[in-house]
Amino acid sequence: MLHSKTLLWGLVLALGAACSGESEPDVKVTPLPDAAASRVERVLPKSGEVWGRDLAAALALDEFELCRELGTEDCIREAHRITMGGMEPERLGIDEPLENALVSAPIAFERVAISACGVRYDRDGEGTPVLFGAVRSSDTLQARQEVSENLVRRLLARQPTQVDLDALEGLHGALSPISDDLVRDWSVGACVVVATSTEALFY
Amino acid sequence: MTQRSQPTRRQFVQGLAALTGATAGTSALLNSDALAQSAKDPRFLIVLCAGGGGSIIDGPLAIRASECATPDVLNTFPDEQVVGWDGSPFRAVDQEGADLGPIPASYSVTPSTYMERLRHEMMVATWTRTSVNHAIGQRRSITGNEAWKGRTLQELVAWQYGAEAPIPNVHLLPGFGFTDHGTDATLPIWSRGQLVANPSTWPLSLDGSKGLKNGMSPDVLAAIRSQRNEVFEPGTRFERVFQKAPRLLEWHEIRGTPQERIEGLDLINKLLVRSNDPSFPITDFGLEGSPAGQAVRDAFPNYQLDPLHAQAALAFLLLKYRVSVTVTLGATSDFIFDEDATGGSNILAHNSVLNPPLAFDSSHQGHRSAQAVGWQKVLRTADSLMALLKAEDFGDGTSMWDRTLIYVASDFGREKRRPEGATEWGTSHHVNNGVAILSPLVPGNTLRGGLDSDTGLTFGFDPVTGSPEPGREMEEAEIFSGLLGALNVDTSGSGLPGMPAMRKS
Repeated sequence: MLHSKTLLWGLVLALGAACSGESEPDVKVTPLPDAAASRVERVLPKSGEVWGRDLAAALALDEFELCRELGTEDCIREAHRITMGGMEPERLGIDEPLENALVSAPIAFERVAISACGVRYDRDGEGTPVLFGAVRSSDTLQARQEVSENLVRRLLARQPTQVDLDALEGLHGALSPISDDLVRDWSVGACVVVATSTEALFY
Repeated sequence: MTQRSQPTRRQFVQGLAALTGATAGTSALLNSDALAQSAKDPRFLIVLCAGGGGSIIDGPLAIRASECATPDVLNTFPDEQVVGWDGSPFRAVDQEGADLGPIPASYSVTPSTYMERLRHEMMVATWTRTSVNHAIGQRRSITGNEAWKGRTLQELVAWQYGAEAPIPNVHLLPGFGFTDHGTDATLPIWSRGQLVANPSTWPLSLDGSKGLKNGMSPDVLAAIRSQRNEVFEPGTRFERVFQKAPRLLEWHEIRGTPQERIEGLDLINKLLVRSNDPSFPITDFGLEGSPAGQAVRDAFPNYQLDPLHAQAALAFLLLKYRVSVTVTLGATSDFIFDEDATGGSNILAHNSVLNPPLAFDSSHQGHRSAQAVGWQKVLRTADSLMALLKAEDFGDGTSMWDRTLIYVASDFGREKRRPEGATEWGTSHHVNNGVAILSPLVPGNTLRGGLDSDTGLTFGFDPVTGSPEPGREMEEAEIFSGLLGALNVDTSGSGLPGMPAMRKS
């Protein structure tokens, strides 16, 4: 694992250097404030339904469009309802969210995010784009910067920091050698990164 | 930015041992080498729940009327309905009824079909419970009334044998005390029960991308995850402020190695019970389903209608593919009706009620029928699981069944008396009962304890010799200990009573 992390970092840095020929875009970010570790250390998970509402709003989709397993069952409200922190008191007797996250919960959230971000990406190619129009027109550093800013604003409801933008740009470098469709994979991937980050999943 | 480092399971155990001051020679549960060895030589625990109050004298210890001084006012059966076997203490009651309690549906059951095979590897141990509250009784059936730091049987089996398993402890029965978590906060996270609410669709949550219309290649998804986990998240203020919050630490933990193990085994396919059909079009989404799917569908054909069948099918696959070392399943409280059933002369078709509401607890309205249908379900499920596991090679010439123990867990027993001559009546809860255990790891065809056929009350046994001891009542902690002993779980330092009579010598 340590080796793969090291390699990834090396790859990101190397690709970052290789991309240095592109012009630097104007960056509209807030400086990262100092952040001391909380002494309370209390965070709570959003239930799948709450997170899904946030995701749908951010991606300008209806909730039922986010993800359907096998095209038939709503991922959040049906297929993975309990896994994603939901309740089902009437039939299953689960009248409060499970105390601990289930081992498959991160995967379930990722599936929804991959599906929803993919839907948004495809829609942006069909009509008036909401999120990914800039990179779909031209995959430049500036376009990716614009998309990254919007992703953070829409999904995390805050201004992006330079660290956020650098991290999402780093994804482009990481995907370059392995992706068959870099524009799509980066767009959906960056969306998934932000949508399934702990900041999006917990409060 | 911070670089996170999740402890391995081995490191966790080493830390736990250090925390508790364990030294060489103490419990194998605190020795990572011993746990690694146990993982190679596992035992499997199936907790098959008779939720609502499975009464042992309506199952393997049924009383013939001729054996009782007052048969008309005790829960006894006409002699001709009770099937027995030479050399076996067990019985089965083949019976039928015009109504299922207040439900206008006739039924017939033939538990002798299953007992004919099961009795050879069945042990019944008597006990007296400490509560007639459902939730409490269910919980105490798996903790022995908090006998060992509030740990559950499933957690202890998962701890000892599941160190290498992707999801060692799976709970397929939501909403019951049988699937409660224990109260020991030091328990390794991997041994904690993982709830599966819907056996049909749950496997779809075992891969981040397979089965999605526009999924991603594993390499691309791995790069996305890595960038999120290693770069994006650590740079956010949220993570820096709450980096030590327990919920985030837990999230980071399960997002690491456990996720890699799950996806690496292609469980999204291997655990899919359902076959491809228009309402479940798995092939349209690039999935194949389980290679063992047909076998489990044949064994549990009502898997789309009866949750117990769906649970049992998935339970077998979880054990077969070594995903888990313990699974917990059982009939739900739902009224389950088979619309395709035909025949009979009542309002609803014969045997159309696959599960009465509240399962065994339907005994409040109709004791005889609820217990009859309930035991039929329990025994049929155990029989099918046993057959599947017997056919499954462990890899060393033994079968999976050779390492498996099925514990039929119940909340408590039921009232022993009935209105004079009644053939159907309602019963309340009762602390006196017995447990049925099916396994090659326990002495078969064996009753530990005994039954007073004049009162319907069971009595206990000598924990060492197994000799019946009228007047003695077995405590929950004793049966809990006996189950762990049969499963060869290291209980040293636990303070639990020794119960060698409950394991095969």
